[in-house]
Amino acid sequence: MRLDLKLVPILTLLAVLLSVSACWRSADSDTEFVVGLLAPKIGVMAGHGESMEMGAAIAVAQLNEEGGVNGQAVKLVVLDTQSDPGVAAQRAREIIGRNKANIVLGTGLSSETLAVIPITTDAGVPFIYSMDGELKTCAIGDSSAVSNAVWGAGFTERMIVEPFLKELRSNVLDGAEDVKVYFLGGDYVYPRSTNEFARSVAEEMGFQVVGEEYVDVSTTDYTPVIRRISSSNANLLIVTNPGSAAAIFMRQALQLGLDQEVAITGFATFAQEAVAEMGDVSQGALYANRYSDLLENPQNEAFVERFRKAYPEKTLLPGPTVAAGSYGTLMIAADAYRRAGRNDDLNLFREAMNTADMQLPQGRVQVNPENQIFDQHMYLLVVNNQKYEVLADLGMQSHPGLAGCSVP
Amino acid sequence: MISLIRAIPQKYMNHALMVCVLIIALLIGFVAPEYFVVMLSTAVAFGVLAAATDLCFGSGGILNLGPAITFGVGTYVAAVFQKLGIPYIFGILSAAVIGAILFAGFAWIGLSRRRSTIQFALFTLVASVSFEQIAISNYSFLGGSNGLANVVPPFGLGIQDYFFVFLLISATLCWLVVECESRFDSILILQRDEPEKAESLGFDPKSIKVGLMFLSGLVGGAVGAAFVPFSGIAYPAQFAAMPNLLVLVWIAVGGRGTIFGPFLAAVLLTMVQFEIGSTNSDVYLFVMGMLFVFVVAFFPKGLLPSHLHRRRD
Amino acid sequence: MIGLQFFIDFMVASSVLLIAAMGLFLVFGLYRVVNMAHGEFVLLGGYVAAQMQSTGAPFAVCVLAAAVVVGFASLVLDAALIGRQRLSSSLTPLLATWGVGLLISQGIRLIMGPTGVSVTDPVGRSFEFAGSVYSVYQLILVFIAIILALSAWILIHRTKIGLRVRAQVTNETLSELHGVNTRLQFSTAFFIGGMLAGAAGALLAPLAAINPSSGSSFSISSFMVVIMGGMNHVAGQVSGALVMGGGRNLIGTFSSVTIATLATLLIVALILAFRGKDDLVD
Repeated sequence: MRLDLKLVPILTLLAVLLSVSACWRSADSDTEFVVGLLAPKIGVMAGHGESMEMGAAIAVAQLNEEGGVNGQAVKLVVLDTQSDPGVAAQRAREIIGRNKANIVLGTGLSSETLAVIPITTDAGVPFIYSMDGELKTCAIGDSSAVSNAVWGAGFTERMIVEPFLKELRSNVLDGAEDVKVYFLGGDYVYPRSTNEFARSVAEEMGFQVVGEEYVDVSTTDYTPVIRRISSSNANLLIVTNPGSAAAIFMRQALQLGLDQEVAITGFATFAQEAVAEMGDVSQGALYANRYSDLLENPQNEAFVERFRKAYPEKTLLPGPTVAAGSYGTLMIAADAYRRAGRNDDLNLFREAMNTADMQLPQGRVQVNPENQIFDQHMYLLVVNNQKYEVLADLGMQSHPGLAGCSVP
Repeated sequence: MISLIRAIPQKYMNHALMVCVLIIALLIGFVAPEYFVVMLSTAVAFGVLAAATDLCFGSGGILNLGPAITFGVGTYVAAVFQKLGIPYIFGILSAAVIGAILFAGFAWIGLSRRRSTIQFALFTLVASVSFEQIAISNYSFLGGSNGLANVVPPFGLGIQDYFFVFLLISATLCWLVVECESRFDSILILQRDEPEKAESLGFDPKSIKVGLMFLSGLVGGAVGAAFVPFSGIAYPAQFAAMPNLLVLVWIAVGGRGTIFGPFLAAVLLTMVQFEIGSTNSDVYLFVMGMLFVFVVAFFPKGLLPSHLHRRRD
Repeated sequence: MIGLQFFIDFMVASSVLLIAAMGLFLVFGLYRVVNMAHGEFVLLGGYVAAQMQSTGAPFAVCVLAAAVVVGFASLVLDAALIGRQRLSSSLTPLLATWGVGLLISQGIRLIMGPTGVSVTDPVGRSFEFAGSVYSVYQLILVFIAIILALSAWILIHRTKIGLRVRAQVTNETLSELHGVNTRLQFSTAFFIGGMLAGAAGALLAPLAAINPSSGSSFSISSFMVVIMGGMNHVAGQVSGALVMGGGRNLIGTFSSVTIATLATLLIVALILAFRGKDDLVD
């Protein structure tokens, strides 16, 4: 085969030019406090990523109004992880090496988080992951010690299951002695680990577990599952199947009248994007999470006001949950940096961060030094007209030690 | 420079061009920051994969829409071996062997004169999606949807040092592909275009096809295993439909059958993709879609002009 | 009555797939054009229906609108890309349509945002019979699927037009020599295929996911139905839908949904690997 030879020098030049342009450093990175946000902008978690960015942007604006952090202006850099852990790893290197991030926030998937952790830890850059799910703050290679550079803003299964089930029993099932629960989950790590723990708690509480089932997330026909749940005589259904899988399930479940037979509840199933996509089939679903935009506290009122001003066209049913999360995370981290007095010292930041205790839109948040997970309020919510109404405040919850760590 | 290029015998053109690209990568590796080196390694790895796939397609007439299978299997094998404490070199070798056997198996089952190109292509695509599902379902061994994270370069090497090792491995794999193509050039084209004539001359087209897929699988598995320390994680989405179709795009853009064309297209497009995807992530996929449509509509034989006088589409 | 429940669920699952795949049957099953944008066409239909429904239009109008919009889109696609390249190679339409599929899904994401939309079940009623609950709308879908299959069968296998189409598919050159305008015939088939895909999106939206990423699941299941059914005959499509949809439903009922998914993937892979050339001519 013959290649057009004139092209070869051109292509060489192109390659070199690409390299040079990619190496171009972002200006002024030494005089700015760079917040690196790794968020999925495309792919299955794109909605989540978009919300994370909005919340972080509001926080950055507010921090700059307050004069920045330790004298430096705050700059937000957002890199797209494409809902892909390999890409997330690459972006993590980029956001540290090229954008000189002081702190890294994100991501949109557990696998992305696990891919990013070795990179930020190696580089000595603090990383606060936002996803709910199993604990990921243990040290790499040593699950009995806590990491020196990773914090978890999301809640773990141990923080939510027991208070949720207790509240359900007394509030919803009217203290029924005779609770028959069916567990349904998407077939991947988060639902399995959550349900495994939830099942043991349920059994301890005297619930009768009448079924446990996992469906692959690409399923489009839930009829067999719905029939099984129906014939099991369950009166409580706990679904952990997020995103559009939740929407498909709820649509089909309601068509077959499942909501008349069981109380439908879930972890993550009724998260922000899912409820937005579900539309009115989400009506009446019970959900446990750390935030609702209807919470009545001064920080939340201020935050919701800022959000409305910044994004007037976003109705964002059921409410800016994820944005409130990233906003809160950044505010509490910035406060820690201010108390540490410096923006470039991991140890000083860590000392300050592990004593953090702040009122955020979601309520009081305290960093637990034992496992570097945010101790925070959990709420029992009911979806009403696609908004999260607060049924009960389940109180401050902590994760016990380093149980259930999934970092290899 | 051009006279220097013209001095190279035609037979070794592909070898020379690939060596050029790898030398450029090597030089960049000395000076570039770590994140760039990792990006470059991704580009080179995909380049090798594209070249191996084009060997099957261009010369062999086999449209394999599952190159991501051996690449992904390679990453998993390497990750698992590292977790088990087995020396890394065995991981790469095993990945190569497993990849080779997998693809040879596919070819043996799915290829014969009675099967059409598209049929085999769809078979490999469905197979890839099946691998994804299997990887997601298996938590205890394969990490399930979390994948297997924290894969580090062997021998305690840093990323930048390991890059040179990786380039060496890639160069070897490229050499294998290119050597196969140039040495068996006429036989391959004969069995692709006139299988009856090939048979009458004593060559079995099916065995040749199986052999090509064997080599392609070997290269794919090896490069995947060699690559994974850069991303640090082996995960199920590697087997999805998109990565497979991307390889096809690189072949279409680079020029089917030219080996170097797809290699270069993969390298350049991957780098461009990262650049755009980083800063203009909102529109990057849209831009990629436009690119495919544009190329297919106006350059059905590939962007890099090539004159495969013996090639028939 | 458990038997009746199995039967109805089986029929519903099959009908859903048949409705989604019928558009692809015309294009890929008959003409062997690999339309990778089929799923995105269905998705587009769903989005159109959602938009129309939010303005208060009756459901039938929403379905019609979806059909028209996607039919128009497929005309554009045909004119711009497929028509010229269709016969030169099978690879080119594959790539071209994949690119277009990307453009559609990304375009939707950029305009409508990454979160999906919902189409409300237009009937919204269920009833209980012999111990099981059934959805009225799902039963209507079964009815529609049956009508669709019958119409397609009559049109393609029992009319002169159908005869001409089948002749073209078998031997295009010969058809042309007999004065058939093959270009127009293909374009018409592609157009109708597009309309069917759009209508399918609207019809299936009340029990599916309509978001920028969900086009691929429509593509995958539709391709599986057409391939499994043997490509050439409407009866093949019906059997493909019965095996893929109903069969998957049955396996899911008796074991697990995940096993059902893997089983269907495996069956399709095996068919692709072992079936002879007559069925999947290049």
